[in-house]
Amino acid sequence: MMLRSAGLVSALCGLVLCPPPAAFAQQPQASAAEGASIFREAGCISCHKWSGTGGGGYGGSAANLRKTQLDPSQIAETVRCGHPMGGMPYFQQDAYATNSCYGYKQGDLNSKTMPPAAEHFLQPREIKEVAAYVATELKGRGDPTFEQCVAFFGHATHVCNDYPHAGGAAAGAGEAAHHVVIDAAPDQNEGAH
Amino acid sequence: MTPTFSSTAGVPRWSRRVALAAGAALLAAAPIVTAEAVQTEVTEQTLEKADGNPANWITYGRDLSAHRYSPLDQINRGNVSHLHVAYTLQLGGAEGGGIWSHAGLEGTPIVQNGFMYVTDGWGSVYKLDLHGGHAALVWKMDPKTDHDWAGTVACCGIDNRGVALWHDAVISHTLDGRMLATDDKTGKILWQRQIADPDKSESITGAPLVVNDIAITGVAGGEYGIRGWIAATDLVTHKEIWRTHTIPTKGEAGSKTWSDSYDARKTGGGATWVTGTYDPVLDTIYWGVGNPGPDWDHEFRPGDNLYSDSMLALDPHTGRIKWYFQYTPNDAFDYDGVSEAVLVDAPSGRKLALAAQRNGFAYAIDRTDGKFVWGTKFVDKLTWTKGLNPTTGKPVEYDPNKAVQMYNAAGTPDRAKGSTLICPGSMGGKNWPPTAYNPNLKLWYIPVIESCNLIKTVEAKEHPMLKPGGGFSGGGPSDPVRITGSVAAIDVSTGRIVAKQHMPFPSLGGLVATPDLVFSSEPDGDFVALDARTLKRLWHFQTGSGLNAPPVSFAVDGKQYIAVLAGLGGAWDKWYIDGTPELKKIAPGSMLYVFALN
Repeated sequence: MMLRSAGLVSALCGLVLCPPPAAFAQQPQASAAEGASIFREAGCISCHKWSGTGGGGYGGSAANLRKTQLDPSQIAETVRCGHPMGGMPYFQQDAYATNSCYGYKQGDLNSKTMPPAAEHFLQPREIKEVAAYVATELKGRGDPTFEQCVAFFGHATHVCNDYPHAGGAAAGAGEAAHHVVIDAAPDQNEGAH
Repeated sequence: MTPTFSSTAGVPRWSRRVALAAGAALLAAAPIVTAEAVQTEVTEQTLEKADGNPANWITYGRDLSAHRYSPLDQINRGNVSHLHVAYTLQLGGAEGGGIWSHAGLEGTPIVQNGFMYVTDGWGSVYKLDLHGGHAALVWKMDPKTDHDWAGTVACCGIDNRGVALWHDAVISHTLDGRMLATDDKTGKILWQRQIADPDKSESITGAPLVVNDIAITGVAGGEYGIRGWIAATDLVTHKEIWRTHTIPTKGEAGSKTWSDSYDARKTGGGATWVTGTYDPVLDTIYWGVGNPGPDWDHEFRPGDNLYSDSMLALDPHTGRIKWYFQYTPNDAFDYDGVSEAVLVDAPSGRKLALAAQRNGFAYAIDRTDGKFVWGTKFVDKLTWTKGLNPTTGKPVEYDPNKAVQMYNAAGTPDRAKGSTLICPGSMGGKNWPPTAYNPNLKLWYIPVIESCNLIKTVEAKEHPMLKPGGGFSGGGPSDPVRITGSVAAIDVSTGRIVAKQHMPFPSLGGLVATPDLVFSSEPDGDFVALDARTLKRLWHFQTGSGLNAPPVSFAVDGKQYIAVLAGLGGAWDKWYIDGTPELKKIAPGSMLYVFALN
């Protein structure tokens, strides 16, 4: 079965449906795309927003990942273990089975200090990918740009309309068609006393 | 709906009024209206008598008064224990977008002559043929909603609360801010227009209200510093005929209730995201207005902050504000006043507009002039005020000379405390899930969230640089206290609560009333029938999903059915789930359930 599957993959890749494995491994963009995909599917986007800026929103504030001071291994530990006493969930199912999270295990934390479990846990490989994505594509990247937004969401949406272009061009410059026009009627209460 | 027009001259069937106005030549070529058409189409006349045909449910609140009362009584106190699932239909649109991992179903099904119209959270409209005791898809209209754009600026889930019918068009909204008219016969889009701007964090979740050949739209986005409005689209010309902002501009009546020096009104909120009601005799629309922005930092916006947290009475022809009644001046709680005004004539003959709000009080307002009639606390725990002034209906601590209202100070969030437990919690009280009214018993039923929550107040910045979906809330809620629910029954003759049934979970879907019964949607998936007089539990069915939508009752081929959409979404499972931990295990879904006897 394994052999047959491997043969099928080779055959498909022979039809140029897959990049060569070596090239895949060397392309940072492919890795970023996978990290972005996990960032989205795992729900990181729900609180940290696509840009990692976090903050605001209805449910309080999440950390601004673009301004994080954590190093890559600390970022990975935060994804794995969540944030004790904070809202950040832990994404590794057995994270607190041993002392691998800040030196704590299950019994060391109570209901107030134990971080929430993620809605969907991640595989160790996925944790590594998404932590690398945060460390390289979000941390220290300044304010989010139109290009970064399009890289995340693609062109089929208007969500990137208002982000400035890299290099400081005006928001949505050259993308004027993206902006909606609303043919609103005048407000007849305005001016009334 | 059976096709009832023939159009021989290529004149769109919905352009009846244009044809009439265009003179004799065009009039000669205008569509021929048969006698049957008058009976089977939804028109202004049928809408104004929507409660006249017991089989149908042709507008959001069943009638324009939002009674949500079906006179059908085949299913009654004596036989409801035999109620069972007649059929189901799996719908779509549960996928996520933007910051949301999945959508939910909050829609009120519309039923006309054996056909049902439902929406999913992304605004796809499904027309279903219910003849023959099952649901068959006639067509599905997918508006191709921009998932990431809309899902990034929607505060509270991927939601759509249903359609309106008008002649041979089905009128609907999308979360990304559009109104669409779909051909009832073919499912093809006839026209569409952009009404709300997601680039300003505006979105649309409510069903349109059709009256006088116009469709009225409310906007969502009160957590993002929008300036709210209500807009009216002429269904004949497809043009907007009025737009009434809920936060006045400088110099406009009410503008002095924003007494800061930095134009806080520009980001003043006042969303209008729940469908309103209409009184054809008074020719008045009643529409609720949401929280002021920022939600929880009321020191940012000294003054009463009109018309936030208010009921507005509007002229449907111009959008002119006739009068208002404000529930929670200078709101520090996020106590939106958006709840539907239920139009009821009291036994005394007084014309009332009833509204149960997030702040925990149910109000009766004289709908001719906006005067307060009575107010009743309907939640178990309410700490933000000691009560309502019996004359004015304002909280007793309200002082019109104060810029910042502290009400019961220990239970009112402010910057100094930083963290405040409020009861009811910011979700209510009573949220968007609709009430129901039994006109025989004169009982008004309220779906209740019994809650407290902890509000963290964060000082908002003057002249904020707002980004779409960036938030302008002045803090946020958390839920350290268990949240439950109830259904309360108020006698509208007295304003007193005459029955209350406690539920293990908050009421997030709403109610329908029949002569003997009240049906309640529960977020843990339970669908419950209560006795209309005592609210005693008579029957329940576990749908195996989460119910987040109001039930309806209708008849097809002479047989009564009860229907409800299942699929937990909305704000709850993202922002409030810690108050109801068991609901975490409910998976996304998208299903129509229909119940019957035999």
